[in-house]
Amino acid sequence: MKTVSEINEKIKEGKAVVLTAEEVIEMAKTHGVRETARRVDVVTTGTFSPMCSSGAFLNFGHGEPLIRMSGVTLNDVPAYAGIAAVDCYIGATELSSTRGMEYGGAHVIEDLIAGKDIRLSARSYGTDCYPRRELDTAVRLEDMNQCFMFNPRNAYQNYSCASNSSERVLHTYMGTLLPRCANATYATSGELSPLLKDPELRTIGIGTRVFLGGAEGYVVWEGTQCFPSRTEYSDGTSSFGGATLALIGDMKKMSTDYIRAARIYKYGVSLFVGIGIPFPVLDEDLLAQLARPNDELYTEVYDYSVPLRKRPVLREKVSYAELRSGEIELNGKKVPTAPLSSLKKAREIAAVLKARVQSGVFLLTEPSARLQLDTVKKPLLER
Amino acid sequence: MQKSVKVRLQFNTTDTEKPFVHLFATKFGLVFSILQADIMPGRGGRMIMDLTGEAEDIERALAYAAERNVRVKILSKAIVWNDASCVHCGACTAVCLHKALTLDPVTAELSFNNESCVVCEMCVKACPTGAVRVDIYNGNES
Ligand code: SF4
Ligand code: SF4
Repeated sequence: MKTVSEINEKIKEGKAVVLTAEEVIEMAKTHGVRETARRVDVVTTGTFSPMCSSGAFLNFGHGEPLIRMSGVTLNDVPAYAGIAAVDCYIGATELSSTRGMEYGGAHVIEDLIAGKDIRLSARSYGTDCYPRRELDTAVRLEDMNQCFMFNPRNAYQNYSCASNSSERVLHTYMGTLLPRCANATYATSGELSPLLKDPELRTIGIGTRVFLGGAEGYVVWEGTQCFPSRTEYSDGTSSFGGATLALIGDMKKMSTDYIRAARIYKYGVSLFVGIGIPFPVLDEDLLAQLARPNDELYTEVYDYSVPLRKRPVLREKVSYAELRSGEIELNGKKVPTAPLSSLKKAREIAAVLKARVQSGVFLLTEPSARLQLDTVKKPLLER
Repeated sequence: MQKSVKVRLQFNTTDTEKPFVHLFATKFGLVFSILQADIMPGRGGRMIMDLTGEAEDIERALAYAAERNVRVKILSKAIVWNDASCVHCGACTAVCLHKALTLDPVTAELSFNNESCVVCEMCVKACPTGAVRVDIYNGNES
C-alpha cells in the first residue's frame, strides 16, 4: 500500500501523519484498521528497561609515550582491553573491584554520558613500539575519540512475568520476588513495546534507524539469543516473543534521560536503555499489529524459585492489560503486579521520536538486509 | 515541645493492647494514628503508629507501655523519595505492600505517600537507581 520512500517523501514535505502506538490504538478503535492504515504513515514505539547485554566501545586517544593498554579499569571497573592499543569495551554488568555491586560498568557509562570525569587506569607489558607500562588519568567523554554503544542484545520482544512460589524472598534480575507468590513482576512496555508491534519483523533489519539512548542508533544484527517464536493458545489467540536486536549508537549524542545505570539488589548492575523504533505503516496487516492493545498482547508467568532452563509455568497466558491493572490471578489468588520497565519513559520516548519524525530530522529506513530469524536455540552441552 | 514520632509496639498477648492505645489519648493527651497492626488473637502482635504530642508526654507514655511488657521501638527513620533520580520503573512498588509507593494508573508516574509508609526499607533495596533512601532523624527523638 505504501513504501518507505513514499513515506519519507511525505515526512520531508512535512505532510506525514505520525502517531505513537498508544494513539494509533485509539484511532483504530474509533475508525477501524482500514481507515487508520490509510490515514497514518508512521507509528512510534518506546521502551525503557534494564538491558544487561549492553556496553560501549571507547577509544581514549594516545598519550605520550605510547601504551598498548592490556588491562584497563574505569573508576575501578574493569573494561575489556584485548583489542587495539587504546580501545576498550566497557560492559554494563561489570562490577567495580572496590565497590562491588554499588557501582559497575553501567554507572561508568551513565557518568560518561553525564559529562563527568572518569579515572582511567591502564597497565601494559611494554613493547618496542608501545613502551609505556602504566597510565592513570582522568578522562571525559567529549575528549575521547569514537565512543559508541554496542549492545549485543536489546529490545526483547516479549518477556515472561516472574513470581516466586517458594518460602523465601528471592532477589532476581526480575526484582525482589516475595514468598508464596505474594507479588509478580513484568518487564515490557506492552502496547508501546517496539518488537511486539511488528511481531514478524517485516520492517526491521540490518541498518534500521532507531532511537537509542536519546541519539540515533542502528540495528546491526539480530541480537544474541534472538529466537522468535509464536505461541498459539487454545482460544485461537496467539502471541509472539523471543526476537532481540543488536544495536549501535553514538554515545556522545546520548542523554542520561534515556540511559541510566541500574543496581539490582543481590543480582548486580544493569543498564536502563531507552529505545524507540518508528514503523512505516506499509499496509493494513502491519497496522493491525501496530494497533494491538494491551488486552491482545500476552506473556506467561514463570516460577523463579526453580533456577533451571525450564522453569515451571505458573500461568500460560496473561494479557498486558491484566498485568497493568496492578493485579493478576494466579492459582485462584489475586497477586499484585509491578513493572520493572518505565511506562512513563516509554511514552516519553515514543513522543520524542514522533516529534523528530514529524520535523523531518529522523527519516525511516529500508533495511539493507533481513535479520536471520530462523535460528535454533541451542543449550550449552558441557563435556 | 510538640513532636511526632513513629513507633513500633510489640505485644505478647492481646489483652494488653486495647487499654493503652486508648490511654495514649486519655492519660497522656497524645494524638495517634495506627499505620499498621498485625495482631494475632491470643498471641500478641505488633503495631506501628505515629504519636504526636508534647515530647514529655510521649516519653511518659512509652515508659508506661514498656513497664507493661510492651517492647517499644522508636522508628527514627523515614523514607525519602528523590523524584529527580526516579525513572518511574515501578520496581519499588513490587515490595511496598503498604502501598506507600504507587504508580498512577493514568500518568504512569510514581508517587510516595509518607503516611502509609511503615519504614520496612524494602523499597530501598529494590530501587535500581537509588531514588529511595532512608533518612535518620537527628535530635528530634527520645
Ligand atoms: S524503583 Fe526507584 S526508580 Fe523505580 S519507580 Fe521506584 S523509586 Fe523510582
Ligand atoms: S519503607 Fe518503602 S516499601 Fe516499606 S512501606 Fe515505606 S515506602 Fe513501602
